[in-house]
Amino acid sequence: MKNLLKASFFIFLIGVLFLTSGAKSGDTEVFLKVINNSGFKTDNFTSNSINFDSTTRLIKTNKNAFVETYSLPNSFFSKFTQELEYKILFFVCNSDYEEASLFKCSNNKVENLNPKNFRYEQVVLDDAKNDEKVIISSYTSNEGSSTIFVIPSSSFENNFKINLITDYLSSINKSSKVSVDNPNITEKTFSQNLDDYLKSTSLELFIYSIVTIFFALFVGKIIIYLRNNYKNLNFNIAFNLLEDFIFGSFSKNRYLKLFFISSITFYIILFLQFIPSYIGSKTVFLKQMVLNILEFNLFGELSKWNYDNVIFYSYTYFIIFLILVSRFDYLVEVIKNLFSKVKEYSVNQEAIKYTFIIPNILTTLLFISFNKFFSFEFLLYILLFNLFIGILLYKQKTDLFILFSLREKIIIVSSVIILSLGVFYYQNFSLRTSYKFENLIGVPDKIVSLPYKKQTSENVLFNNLSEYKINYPLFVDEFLIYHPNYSKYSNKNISKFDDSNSNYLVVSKTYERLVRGLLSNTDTIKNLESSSGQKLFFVNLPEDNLSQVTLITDLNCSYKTTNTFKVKIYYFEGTSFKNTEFILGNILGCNSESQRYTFKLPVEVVSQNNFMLELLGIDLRFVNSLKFELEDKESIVNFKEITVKNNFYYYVSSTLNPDTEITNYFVSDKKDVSFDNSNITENLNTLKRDKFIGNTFNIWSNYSYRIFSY
Amino acid sequence: MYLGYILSILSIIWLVTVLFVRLPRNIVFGSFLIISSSILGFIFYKIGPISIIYFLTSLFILFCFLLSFYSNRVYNYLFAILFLILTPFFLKFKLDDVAEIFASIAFLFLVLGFVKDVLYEKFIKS
Repeated sequence: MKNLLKASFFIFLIGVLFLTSGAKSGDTEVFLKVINNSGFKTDNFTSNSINFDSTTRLIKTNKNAFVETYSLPNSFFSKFTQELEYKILFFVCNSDYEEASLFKCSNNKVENLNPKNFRYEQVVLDDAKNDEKVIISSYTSNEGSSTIFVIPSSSFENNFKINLITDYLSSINKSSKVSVDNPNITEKTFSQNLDDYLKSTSLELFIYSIVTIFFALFVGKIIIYLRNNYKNLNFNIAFNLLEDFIFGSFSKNRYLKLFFISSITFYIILFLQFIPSYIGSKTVFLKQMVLNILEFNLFGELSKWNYDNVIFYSYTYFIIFLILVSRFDYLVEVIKNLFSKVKEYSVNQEAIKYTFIIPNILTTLLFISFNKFFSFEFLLYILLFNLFIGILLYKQKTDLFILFSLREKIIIVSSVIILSLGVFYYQNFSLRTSYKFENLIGVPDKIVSLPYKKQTSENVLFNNLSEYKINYPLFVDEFLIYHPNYSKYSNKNISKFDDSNSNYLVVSKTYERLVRGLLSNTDTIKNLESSSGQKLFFVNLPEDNLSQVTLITDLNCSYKTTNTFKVKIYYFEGTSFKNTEFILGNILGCNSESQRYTFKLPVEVVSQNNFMLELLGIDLRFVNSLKFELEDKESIVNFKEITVKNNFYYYVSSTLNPDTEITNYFVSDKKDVSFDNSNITENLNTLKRDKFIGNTFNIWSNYSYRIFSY
Repeated sequence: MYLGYILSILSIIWLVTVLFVRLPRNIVFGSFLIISSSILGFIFYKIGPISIIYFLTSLFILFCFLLSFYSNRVYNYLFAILFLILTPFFLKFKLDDVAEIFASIAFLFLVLGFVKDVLYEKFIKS
């Protein structure tokens, strides 16, 4: 039986080696793996994919879409932007393909066709260490609601490139989840505290302790034996030590050993089945694996019918449990040993009173009083150590009254009182605020894209940013802090609009507030640029209280859908801002190339001199012309098209000309602030120090998903 | 905030009392436990439920520190060498994160070995 066990043990070892050597990476479905490794939630690719035709497949994730294709049906992108309402689309180009008036691509390059409705940007990902470069073309729709990333399939040809793309996609995934709102949180939530814990020294020390304890439990016996009896080492002893190393306390029972071998062998087989055919990076994979194990939700996976996951992760937990049980005896032994030593050995009171008791008492008191910069982690350690020393002294029947001489007692008490009073004064009466400097990017990610939400604390400023060249406008909440084409930035409330500077932007968190701001100060409107995108029409009637205004529109007849034509009108009634939505009628298609539709606007609204009108229910690309007619048909109604863009915040922009200064108008009750330099960190620190922004703020750009840190 | 001040004042009063008035050992130790647990409670109140995780973590770290402090001095240095030897292997396999952990542990064991060499005989009487 003993020989059988030894034989099975060797077979087990050979099996492990054989199976491990068979694990190699393949290149099928690389892109899907990249998506998965980037953190986009894709529960099950096959069940969530939509087949448009035999060669096109759209893979759904929560809010984003991915396509891998050889040829696409016509108007695929209009389908994407209009009907599917996805925010992000990754397009991997495997062969020659042209999307009309957007781009031409092949498996190794993308050619931009200068589209009108999309803004083109090129993202260059550079791995200088390995001399690799990946170029991704991105197209953001003018109104900012959707972004298409075009990636040639050659970008996935080696692991370095794959890692670059994975890092970039991962940053996009994180940026897409950033919300505009920054609730003014005075107390941190549990999840924020947990985030802090994950970055704390405590966790680092805890990991070190866990690794050490495990290491000690596995190799402790071997080390102790080799240190004391290395001269007596022979094959049998070495084998027993190895057996003990692998099986732990199970090595004493042959049935337990057999059970352990079979469980582990089965796990290895399961693991090799489960392991993705492609492993971009071992570290990424291991990290992902650990995260998956920690985040595994049995009931969630069961409800989604993901039996593969359920079996693999449940079995992983079982194996971890088995290994822990195999070492449990040793752990108990170690704890017993420690307690017996603590009991057995006594402490030298004279030495301990100067090096531990006095400093600990002083520090504890200092930290309790000093709760403005409360380092509770440190206090916790001192407190636990104090408790330990206290227990030791109690066990040794030490009397504090006798331990310290009168002179020492007076010194301790007076220093405690002086320290506490000093701290109290500093905390309550000192005018000087001391700032702590930290890095603006608080995440370990290689690439960070915008928008980026920063959560920090009171009295924290930021160190200078890395060398990465930023060539796009940069905002912090509503404030413009950098623009590559200008050197001075004024941030003002829209009520202080001054037409001396024709280069300006109007920024707002919500669409409605932006419209309200523009309508309350109509001087802002005249210089606004108009391009394709979400349109607003500012209508300026020649006189008040008109009885009838007619909207006349000519529609392009390539628009086939029958739809209800609606308008939303924003206006001021006295000082109160109102909006009303009206159904004007149905668009039923047309007979000739162009069809004219005439609608009467409601009387109660057109009684206002100025109003903003938004067309709903029709894609503006199909509107050939639009005009307003009064009852007399002679007076001319002036109106101006305004393009409202939305990349995180809503904004409108004047036609920007080369100059030194640009003004950013915001529609909120924030204070005005100006910057005379292009130093991003300095301007951000001014906002933070002077409390223009809170402890949580968003850094964003009107160009979507731009790389902020790399 | 005020709770912190109250605890500070209470701690000072306790300190003055136990230093200048001869009290029975049980009362001194009992009041010490009450003051310590009040401060712990204060931390729990200030930080919320996460403090329990911090507390358990600190307890485990303290246990590991004592384990190393009370064990034979040779093992601290042996562990330091072992962790140091393993570090380049992880670097070779591009497991930089793991290598960093092992290197840090190697350094910590060297420090612990040094601390033990300097302090152990001064503090512990067997």
